[in-house]
Amino acid sequence: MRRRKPDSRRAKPDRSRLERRRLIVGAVCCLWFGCIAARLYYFQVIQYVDMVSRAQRQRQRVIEVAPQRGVIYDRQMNALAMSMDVESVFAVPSEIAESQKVASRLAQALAGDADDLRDRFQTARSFCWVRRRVTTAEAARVRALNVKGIYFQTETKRFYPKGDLAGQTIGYVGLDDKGLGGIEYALDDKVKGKPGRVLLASDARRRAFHSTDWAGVPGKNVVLTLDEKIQYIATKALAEEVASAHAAGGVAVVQNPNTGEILALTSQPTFDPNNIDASPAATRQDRGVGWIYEPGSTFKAVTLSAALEEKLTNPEEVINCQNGGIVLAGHTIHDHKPYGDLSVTDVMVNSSDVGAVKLGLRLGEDRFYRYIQAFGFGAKTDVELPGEERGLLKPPSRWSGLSIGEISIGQEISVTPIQMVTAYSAIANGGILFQPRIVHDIFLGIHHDPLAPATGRRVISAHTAETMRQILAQVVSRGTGKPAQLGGYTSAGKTGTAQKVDANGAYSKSVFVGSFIGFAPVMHPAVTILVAIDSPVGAHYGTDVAAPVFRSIAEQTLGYLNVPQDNPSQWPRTTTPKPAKIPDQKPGILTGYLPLDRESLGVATSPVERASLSNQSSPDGTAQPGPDDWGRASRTVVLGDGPQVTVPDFSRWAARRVAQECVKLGLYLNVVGSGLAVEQNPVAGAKVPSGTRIWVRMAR
Amino acid sequence: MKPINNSRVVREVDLERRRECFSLLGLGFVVFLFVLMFAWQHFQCVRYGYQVEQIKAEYTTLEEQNHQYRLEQAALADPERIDTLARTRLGMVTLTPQQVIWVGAQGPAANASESSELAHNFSVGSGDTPHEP
Repeated sequence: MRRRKPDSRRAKPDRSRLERRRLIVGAVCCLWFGCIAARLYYFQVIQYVDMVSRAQRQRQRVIEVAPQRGVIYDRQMNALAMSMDVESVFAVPSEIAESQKVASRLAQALAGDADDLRDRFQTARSFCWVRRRVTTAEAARVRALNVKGIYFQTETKRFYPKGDLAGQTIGYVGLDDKGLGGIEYALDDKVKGKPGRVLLASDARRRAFHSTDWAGVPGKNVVLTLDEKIQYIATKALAEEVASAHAAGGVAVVQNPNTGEILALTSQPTFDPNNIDASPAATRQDRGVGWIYEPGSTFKAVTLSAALEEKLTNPEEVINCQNGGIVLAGHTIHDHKPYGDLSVTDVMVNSSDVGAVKLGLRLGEDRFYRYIQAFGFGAKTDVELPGEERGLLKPPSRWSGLSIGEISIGQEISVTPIQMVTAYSAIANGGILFQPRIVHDIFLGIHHDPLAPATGRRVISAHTAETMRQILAQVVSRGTGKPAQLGGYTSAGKTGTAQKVDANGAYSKSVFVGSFIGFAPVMHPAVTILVAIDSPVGAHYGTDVAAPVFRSIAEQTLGYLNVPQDNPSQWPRTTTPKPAKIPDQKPGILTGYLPLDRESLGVATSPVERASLSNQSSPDGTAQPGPDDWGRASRTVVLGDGPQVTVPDFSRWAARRVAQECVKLGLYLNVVGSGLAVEQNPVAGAKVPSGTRIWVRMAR
Repeated sequence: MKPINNSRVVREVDLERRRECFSLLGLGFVVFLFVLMFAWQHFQCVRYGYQVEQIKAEYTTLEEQNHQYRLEQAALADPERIDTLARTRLGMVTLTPQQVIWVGAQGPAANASESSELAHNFSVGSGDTPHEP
C-alpha cells in the first residue's frame, strides 16, 4: 500500500480551522458554564434566603392543632361532656370543573340543598365550607364521590353523651367551640385549652416524612358535684310532674346540706345541648340560679328561725291567729283557713299566715332584714354557674307598712331556688350556711387546681336549728307536708304556694308557684331537696304538686346513697305511686358519629337484680305497690350485692390511715388533694358492697 | 521510518508514585464511603421519618378511636337508656322503700345511729364565726 504524502498546503489551514473551532466550542462551553455558574451563584448566594423559604413553603406546612376541650365529669367520674375529632368538608371552587353537577352530588350525599351549594361555589374562589362537623357516614359518602376540589378538615366537636341530662347546668358550646352557657361558659378559660402547631414536611405526593410539634395545652377536666343518677332521678320526677300539672316549668335542686354541694340541679323545660338549634332560648335558662320567684310559705322557716334565735318565741307558745285575718297598714292578710289559737309549732304545721306575720312583727324590720341577709337572700351565692340572680330584697328604708307582714309569709321578696335550698340546708345541718358548690375539682393529669375550701358561717345556733328541724318534721308528719312523708325515713320540710305577679303588677289569682323544700332523714340529714312548680294548672298548692315530687326524689336518692333507714316501720298511707312512665328512646344524636351499634351491646344486669325484680314485674311493666302492700311486699327480697361494709368516718384522718382502713375493708380509694380528710363520699355510716370506690378529699 | 523494538525495555517501578496512587485511591474510597454513609444515613433518616409519621398518624387514629369508645361507653351508660332498657326489655320496676329488705344481722334502724353527718365532721373555713345578726 502506497502512502500518500501529506499536503502541507492543505494541512495548515485545516489545523488552524480546527483550532479555531476548538476555541469556539471551548468559548461556548465556558460561556455556558459561566452562565450556569452565574445563575447558580444568583440562586444559591444572592437569592438564597428567598429560595430556601420558597422550598420550605412547598415542602412544609404548618397546621394549627385545635386544643381538645376538657371533659366534664359528674362526681362519680361519669363523662357528661367530651370532645371528639370529626371531619368538616370544604371546597376549593376554582378546582371544581362542573359546579352544578358537583353541588347536586354533594347535596345528595349530605342531604343538603344543591342550589345553596352551587351559590357558594360561584361566590367563593379559593375556599368555602360545604358542611362542618359531618358524621362518619356522611364523610364516607363524600369521600366515595372522589370529587376534585373537595377536601376534609379535622375539627373537634363537643358531645354530651347524656343528652338533655343537666343540660342547663353543663351548658353548651358554639360552632367555634366557645362555651356559651352553664359550666362550659363559666369555666371556658380553663376548659378550652390553648392551640398547638405542627410543622409538617411532606414530599411531592403530600406524604409527611417529618414533623415538629409545638404542643398546645389541652383543656382542663372539670369534676362537678352533680351525681348523674341523682340528677336523673330528679329530672324524671320533675318532668313527670310538670307534664301532669301542665305547668310552665319547674325546678328541682338536691343539695348535700353538710357541705353545700349540689347533687342535682334540674329545670324544666329542658334542652339537648347536642342540638341547641332545635331548642327555644327560654329552655336554656338554668332556673336553679337564674329564676327568681316569691317563695311563699316556705319562707316562714326563715321568719320562725329568726324569732326562735332571738328568743322572741318558743315552739309551745300560743299565738292568736284572729280567725284568719290580720290588718296591716290598712290591708288585711288572710289565712287560707280561719284559725284561732295555735302554738308556734302549729302555725308552721298549718302554715298560718297570721301567725307568721305576728312573729315577723315581733322581730321588727331591721332585725328581720339582718336575718334575711344572714340566710343569704338578696345576694348571689357565688355558686360557679353563670347568670345567677340576686333575688329581690328591698332594704327596710324602702319597706312599706305592709312589707314586714308580706315578707314574713314569703311575698314581696324574690329568691332563687339555690338561695332557698341553701337556707334550708343551714337549718338541716345545725345552723351553718355553706356556700353552694357545683365544681368539685379541676384537673389536668395529676395536677389539680386548688379550689377554695367550702366555707360556711353560722346563722342560727345548733339549738335553734334542732328546734326548727323538729317543727318542720311535724309539718310533714301531721301538717301540710304529709305527701312528703317517706317510706323508711323521717323527713322535714315546708310547703309553699305563692301567687305570681301578673302583667298589671298585681298578684294573680290564677297563676301560682307551688313549692316544697325539705330534708331527710331529720336527725342526720343527707339531702336537702327543693321542688318548685311554675304555674301549674288545676291543683296548684305546694302540697299537691311539689311535695310528691320531693318524696319521689328523696326516697330514691336516699336509697341510692345507701343512707340507713331511720324509720323502717313507717310506710305512709298516701297515694299509690304513679305508674312509672317509660321515656321514649330517642334516636341518639351521637349515633352517626359512633362506630358501634349501641343497641347490640344491650345492658348487663347482675343475676341478683334479675332475680329480685322478676317477681315484681306487672304485665304493663309498671310498679303497682299500694299503701297496704308491705305484707305482700315481703315476697320481694332485694339482696345486698355481696357482703356489705360500713363506710368509716374519715374526717381528719391522714391519707395513709385512710388507705390502710380501705385496704382492711376491701374498699377502693380515690384521694383528691393532700392533708387531712375533709370530705368523703359515700358518707360515713353508709353500707356499701365490698369493692366500692370511696372518694376522699384532703385539705390542709 | 526505522522501527524501534522496545519490547525488552522494562519500565522502572516507581514505588513512590504507586504508593501515592494507592493512597489516593484509598482516600477516594474512604471519601466515597463517607459520602455513601452520609447518603445512606440521610435516606434512612427520611425512611424513618415516613415510618415515624405513619406511626404518629396511627397513634392519633387509635387515640381518636379511644375517645370514640369512651364516648360510646358514656352514651351507653346514660341512666335514661338503662332505665328504658330495664323496664322494657327486662320488665324491671322502680322499687319502693318498703320493698327493700336489708340483709344482715343489723337492721337499718340499728345502723341509723352510725350515720354521721358531715356537718359535724366538716372543717369550716375562716367564716366559721358565729354570725350575730
